[in-house]
Amino acid sequence: MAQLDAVQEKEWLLLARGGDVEAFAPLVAAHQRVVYRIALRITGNPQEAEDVAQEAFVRAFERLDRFDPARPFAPWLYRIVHNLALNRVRRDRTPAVLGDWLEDERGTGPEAAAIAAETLERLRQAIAGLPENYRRVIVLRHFEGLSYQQMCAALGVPLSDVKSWLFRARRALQKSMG
Amino acid sequence: MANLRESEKASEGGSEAADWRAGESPNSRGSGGAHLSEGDIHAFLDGELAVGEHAAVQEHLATCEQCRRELAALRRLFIALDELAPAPDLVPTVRARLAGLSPALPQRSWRRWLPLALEAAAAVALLAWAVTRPAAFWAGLFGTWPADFGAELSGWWSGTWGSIVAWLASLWADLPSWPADTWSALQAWLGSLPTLDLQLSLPQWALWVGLLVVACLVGNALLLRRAALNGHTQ
Repeated sequence: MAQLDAVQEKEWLLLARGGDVEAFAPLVAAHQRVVYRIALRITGNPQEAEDVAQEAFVRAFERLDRFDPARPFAPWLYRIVHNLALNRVRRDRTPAVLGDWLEDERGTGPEAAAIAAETLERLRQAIAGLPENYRRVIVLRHFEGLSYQQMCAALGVPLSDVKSWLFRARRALQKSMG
Repeated sequence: MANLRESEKASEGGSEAADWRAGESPNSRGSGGAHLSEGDIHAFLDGELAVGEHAAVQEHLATCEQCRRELAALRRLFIALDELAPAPDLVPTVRARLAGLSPALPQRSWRRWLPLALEAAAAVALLAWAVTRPAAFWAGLFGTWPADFGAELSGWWSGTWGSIVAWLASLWADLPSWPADTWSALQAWLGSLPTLDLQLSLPQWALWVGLLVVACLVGNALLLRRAALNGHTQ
């Protein structure tokens, strides 16, 4: 899905404010990845993150009449998902990651995007080059969202092994990022 | 947490030893400069600490620059791994949930059809007005243009409808089960269709057909835009 430019986004927002559900769909498509990532960082669980992200979009649509279209849509939306995710996690347990996610999501220009793409490619190759056990724990933790105990059950190994593999794998990946 | 780390090391046996710095429990940390263990930092970011431990680590991070730097470095890795993680397509489920909400917002749903309805009404009104103008109106407006095209079209209208009726009659003859009185009623209705006195010249026809095409294109632009909306969500 191509990103929307500011003019296109404003057009869709104005239609969506009138209750047009179909006009809201391009906005969902444009922001879903970031919204999901924010929810995932806070909840630490892909299923919960998906629920929270969906709920964030629904809440945003319901509250569009309170949103000033002259202001950027993304920070307002990200604040909704942030609060929803925190409420969900505080209800159940401690948050996985707390921090200035907005700083992370703030774009810093084409040069930064190019650097990020190069870093991601190095990281992708580093994951592929990990020993199998290290790669499995990285996938189970970061792509599947399993807890330490769930990884123990999935892999059939003690907690100490899971932690050891995970921490070493992360160290190796950090080195690859430079 | 220090006790936990000791018991985990004891249970490892033949498996790989955990390679983390020895650290004290956050609860016992004083001002002597002890740092968080690697395990603490990882577990903190993974959300695997109990509430009390989590709070203790946060308290330590508030005062320890080195641990904050290590946490930030690990967090950058987490963020990069998030970028590589597959993300679900939320559009279908969000759309379905919002569609379920739309009955609660009836005052908003009809507005999007208003422009198209106005376009269609304007096009129909324009055409109806045009074909009911007498020939003298157009002659006065456009000058002495030939009017035989309209006469030819009128003749086609009458002749063609007559041919259609005859064709249907032959078709009817092959349908033995069709009620006779219904066919008589249909014949009468077809015969009553008006013949239009289309005394317009070719340029006048071209003008009105052109205006009708423009009205249809503008109206369809709204429909195509709706299709583009759906395309955006693919």
